[in-house]
Amino acid sequence: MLLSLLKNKIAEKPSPDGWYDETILSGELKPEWTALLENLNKLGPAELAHRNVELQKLLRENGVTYNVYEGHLTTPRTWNLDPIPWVLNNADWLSVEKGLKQRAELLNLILKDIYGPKVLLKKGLIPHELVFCHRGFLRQCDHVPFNTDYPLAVYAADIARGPDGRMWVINDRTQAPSGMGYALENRSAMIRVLPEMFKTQNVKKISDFFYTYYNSLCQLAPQNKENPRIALLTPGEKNETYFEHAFLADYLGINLVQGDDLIVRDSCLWIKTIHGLEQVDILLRRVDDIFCDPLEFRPDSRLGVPGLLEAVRKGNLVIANPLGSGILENPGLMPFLNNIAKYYFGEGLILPTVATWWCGQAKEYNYVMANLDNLLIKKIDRVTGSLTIVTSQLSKYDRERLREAIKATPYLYVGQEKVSFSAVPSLVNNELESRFAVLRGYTVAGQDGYSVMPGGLTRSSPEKGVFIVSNQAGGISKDTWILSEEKEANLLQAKNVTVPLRIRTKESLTSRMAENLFWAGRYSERLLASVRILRASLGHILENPNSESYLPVKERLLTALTEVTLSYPGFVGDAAKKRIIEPQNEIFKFAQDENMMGSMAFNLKSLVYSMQSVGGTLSNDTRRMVENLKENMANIKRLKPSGYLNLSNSVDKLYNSHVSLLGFITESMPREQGWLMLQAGRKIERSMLIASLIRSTLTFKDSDQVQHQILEAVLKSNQLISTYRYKYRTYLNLEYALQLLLFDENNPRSIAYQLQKLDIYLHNLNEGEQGDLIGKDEKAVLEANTKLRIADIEDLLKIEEGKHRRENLDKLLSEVTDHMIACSAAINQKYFSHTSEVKNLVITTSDLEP
Amino acid sequence: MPAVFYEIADFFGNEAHYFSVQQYHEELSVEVKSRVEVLSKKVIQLELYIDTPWEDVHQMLMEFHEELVGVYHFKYDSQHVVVDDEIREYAAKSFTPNRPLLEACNELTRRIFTDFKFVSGYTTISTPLREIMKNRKGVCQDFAHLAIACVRSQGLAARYVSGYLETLPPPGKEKLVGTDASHAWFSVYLPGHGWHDFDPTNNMIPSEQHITLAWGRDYSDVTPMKGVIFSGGGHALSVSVDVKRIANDFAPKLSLD
Repeated sequence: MLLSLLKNKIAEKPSPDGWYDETILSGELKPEWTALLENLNKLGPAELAHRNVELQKLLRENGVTYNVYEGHLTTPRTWNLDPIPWVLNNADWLSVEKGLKQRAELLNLILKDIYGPKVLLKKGLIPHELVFCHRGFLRQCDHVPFNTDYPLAVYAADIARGPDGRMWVINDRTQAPSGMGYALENRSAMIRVLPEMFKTQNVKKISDFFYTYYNSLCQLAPQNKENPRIALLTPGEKNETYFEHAFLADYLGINLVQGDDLIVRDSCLWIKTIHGLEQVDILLRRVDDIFCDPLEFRPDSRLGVPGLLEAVRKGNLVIANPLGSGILENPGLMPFLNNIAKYYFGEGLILPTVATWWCGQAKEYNYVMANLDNLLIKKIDRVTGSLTIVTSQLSKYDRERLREAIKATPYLYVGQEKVSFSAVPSLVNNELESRFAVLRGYTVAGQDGYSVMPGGLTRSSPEKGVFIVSNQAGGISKDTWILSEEKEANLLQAKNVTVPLRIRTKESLTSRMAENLFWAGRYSERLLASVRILRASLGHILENPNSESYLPVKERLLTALTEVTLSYPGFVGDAAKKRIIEPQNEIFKFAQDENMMGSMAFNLKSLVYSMQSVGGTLSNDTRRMVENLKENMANIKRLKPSGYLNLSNSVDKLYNSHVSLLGFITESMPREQGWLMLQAGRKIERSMLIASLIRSTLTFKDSDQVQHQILEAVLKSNQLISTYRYKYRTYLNLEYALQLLLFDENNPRSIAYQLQKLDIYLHNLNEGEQGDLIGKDEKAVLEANTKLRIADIEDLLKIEEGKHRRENLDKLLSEVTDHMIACSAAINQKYFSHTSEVKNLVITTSDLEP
Repeated sequence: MPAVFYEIADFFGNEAHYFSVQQYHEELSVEVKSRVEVLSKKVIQLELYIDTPWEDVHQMLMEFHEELVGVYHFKYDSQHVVVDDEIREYAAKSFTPNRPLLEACNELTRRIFTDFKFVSGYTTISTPLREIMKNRKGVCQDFAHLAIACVRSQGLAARYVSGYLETLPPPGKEKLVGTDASHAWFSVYLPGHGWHDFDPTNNMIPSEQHITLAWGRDYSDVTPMKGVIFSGGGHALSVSVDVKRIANDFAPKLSLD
């Protein structure tokens, strides 16, 4: 049925704009499409629709996202994949492959020449304006040795088929081409969800290409080092293709790093890890070159590493693609490539470039000006935002301004022919429709030249009859099938696809990641504590409304809320009494105001921030729970400050979602360094919080009745009432309660338990580093533990004559807190010390007068 | 001494030093001592009589000549030198038809000196040229940038020269320490004869008192020092320059050591 549907469409389509239909040759359906459509037919429309839903679901579950900039916000959008691939036969593909190889070779030679002898400039084969006036030409990189014959390690080209059936190159990508990882994800999702479609077709594998890619990266190693360390530099999780950075790093088995993770010392590049500096030999960058080194290029960039170019200059690091390779993303070069190819190879381009007129030449300038309305206008270098100006979409005024701009600096502009792309069938609302498509092809350099991925990333236009194809504009991706003459082992391919390229050796956690995890642990406990104590206070207020006799209890609890969470002034200080009697405003502020230090909302915001900073290492479920937590918080913020019942219910929900988050982390996180950091943060924070809670509630000389109530509230808020009853089977009593809260190593809410666990975590983190010596962090725990162990319960309970507090108890808890602060400082010093801030050495103008 | 220290030549052939201090430190002091020989500029004064009209030079620079590959860089806008209509008009008054290039530049130098007031601290390095044009005030690098913009607006090549100026004490007084200054001026390219310097701040042809340090398209190519520090606190910077004459008849020694 689908097949007949498509045939009808073909019959009625006279192709008025003269574009090429991928499925038809000389009025007949091409054989490579027949097989595909037959398979679709067998599946049937209903099943296809169902599989399509499954396909999108799988991509969503794998976390395949593409960040879209909307105003100031970056929204992750699930990757769209059309279940209908673009199918190309082997003969068609061979010429594309040959053409891409040739073009990669050519651009590689141009790159070496521009930053080296400049023969092409001297011979006039490239007009000097195209280099000297292009912002991608980085003078700092001139004559910096590449240390390889193929500095252009990765090259991608956007290709489309013109009306005459020939393939054209429309864009070159030479800095940090994106999309390879998405292409692989697309293929693996297709095999998983639509295995039948691969059955009768021999589709070329693309996974092998990634082995080639990995090997070619290894070959770049300085001094042919064996087992070089490779890292992928990402701008961070806000970048549009961050998913792909994380995916590729994982798939290739290399480190994913941000600028803050790296440092240049002794003219070498290092990763800052919790076990010190570890050298990087090859850096695969996904950061544009001018942002890579604030020392040499943009001083305001925080995405790069100061001194990066220095490491390259000294031959201790190779960057792929090299800094400065942005010069090749230059539509101005296009009209000259054919002659340059003849100069180097004695033959012209195999894959033609779309017709381009560079306005730096008089004849071409006149042509562009005369035909402005029918051409695409591009600047020779990429400016933020739009690269291409579609003149027909401009207002008369803007068109005049464009004319003036071209007139003032003609050498910065090209005019390009508007090419039509070929149409490929796409599944739209469960029917097949023709959509224009562009293919991004990928090549990587090896020792003997370039290899081409047998396939690529196809993107099709979101609307009918539109030639704009981009992910930012909501384009849809497709798998790209290159049919092989021989049978390939498709099923094997499905298996291989998810296996990483090599077994990863144990590598150290980066300091930045460790610090974020440590703080995620600490904020997590702060949030738990603020929720618990808020619940205890609300519980008390709801159960004893307006009762004068309960005021001392209420006062203790609310004071403790402020003291434990450090959310001063709160219920402490000037006119605190008034706020304690009428606490509603203050309580809502504590729950809702994320700008108030120590408030519940503040702790939640800080936790979410730390969790998002470690994004890549978390499981999808965990990430979903973080989103859930944010939703709960949003609900609380919407509450009107009237009455406590709604607040109490919402806080309960928040508590539950936070506990589930911790549950997911415990379920899914590998027990490695990251886990240890998170747990160490939690244990340190929790022991301080318990100490603080006891100091604020149980060290005072209160009447038996007040003390009993407070004791009950404290135990309740820590869910210890039933433990207490089960264990002691007696009326609430301070001595037993303190036993439980301080010394009971089996109680996960005792200080002793925290210290015991903390000791183990710190020991494991430290493993193999300093032999038998213990560090300051472990010493602090040992001291706290010893003080706790030798304390005598009778002494702790004692209130001296004329005093109002249990001073021994207070002192012990204060000491435990101090040791925990020392422990945290020691961890900071030991594991995160190289995370200090980078600043520009500002040169003022006063040094250059008169 | 820094852990890493070496000499490099930048894109324009200027000598630069790269260094990195990897230990904890509270103060960083950079001291540069150079022994410089300044050749007499009398010859260059004479060259003012070279009467190549500026249009001929413009025409040459519009064409492609292999030997000019290193000159083309200085023809176009750069970070601090952005030509606009106002500058083009201002410049056109000096670049009248058939006027010799050097004569036009000489007059441009004089006009900037007369039309603009030197006001120390009036501008920062990020003050754009249109502000300078509007307020008619600035410091030496503003005047150099302005002159370069004027020359480039006529399709010619001009570069920024960064250097030092030797100041002379009042007659009969001892020269004070630290009174000399960093200075900037501009240079124009004349095919077949090379680069010719002009100082619009002092309305003169740079001579023995001008000591060239480096050149580039504008200030940003030849910042005296730039870098990053890893620190939690703030920092302050101070600079001083001394030029001391060793001998008037200093000549290069020819030796084989």
